[in-house]
Amino acid sequence: MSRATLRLPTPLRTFCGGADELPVAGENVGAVLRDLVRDHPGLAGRILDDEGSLRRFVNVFVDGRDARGLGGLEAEFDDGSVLTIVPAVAGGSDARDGATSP
Amino acid sequence: MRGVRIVVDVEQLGRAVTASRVALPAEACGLMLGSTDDDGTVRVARVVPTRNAATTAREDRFEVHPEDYVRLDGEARELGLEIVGVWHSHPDSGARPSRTDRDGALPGWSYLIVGRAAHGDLHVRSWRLEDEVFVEESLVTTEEEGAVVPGVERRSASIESQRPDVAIAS
Repeated sequence: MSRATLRLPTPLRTFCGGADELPVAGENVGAVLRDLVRDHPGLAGRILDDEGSLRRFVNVFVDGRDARGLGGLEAEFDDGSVLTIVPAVAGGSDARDGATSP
Repeated sequence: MRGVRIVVDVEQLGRAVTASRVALPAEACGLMLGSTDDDGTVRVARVVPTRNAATTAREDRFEVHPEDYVRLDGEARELGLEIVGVWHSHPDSGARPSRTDRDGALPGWSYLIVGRAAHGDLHVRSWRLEDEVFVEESLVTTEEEGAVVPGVERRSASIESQRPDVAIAS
């Protein structure tokens, strides 16, 4: 088991008592995320899907590297690592169909 | 009635405008680093362009590159700031959130849009998702407010601005 720091994006902090980062420990990224959701039920469905997989619009980086390239939820990390939850930040003007909303 | 107030240094705002024009015909995007006052006022200290990671239709889609997000999240923390919002451009349409913008938005962040970036009537507006609906923020430049955003050295204004939207002289 390794100990690390988990950095949270602003939109998820409200579900973690406002914390911007949390000390975490686990065998791998998946274990950390499952414990996180267990301790902060408001995060349920926001990071992991119903099958326990990483949601499509969420990335986790381990020391600046995308966990998906390190084994996904099985990715291991070192003591002192920094894990960062990265939400997909996307949108666009829909110029091709002209759809806009207030 | 306008919601949250967002204060941006005019020179930092200019970075988004410049990046929006350089990226044409694609959309430009990036993150805003800053802080939030106790009264909810958002103070943007840095407007930072990022790579647009959208793999298709970059003329009307954007995705902040996740590697850039991680890097800027780290930089913000080192500066005692946080990511307070996202900015992107609409090359041809106005600075109102699209359906795709709404679908991709997260609560708790400001969404600043550089509208009509390919045209002479370029303008900037900022929005925030509240109860799954975008509400316009009150966008104020530091020059209008007469205040200094922490972390930003004030210089003379190089961009004209006016209410209610911030219109940028081309």
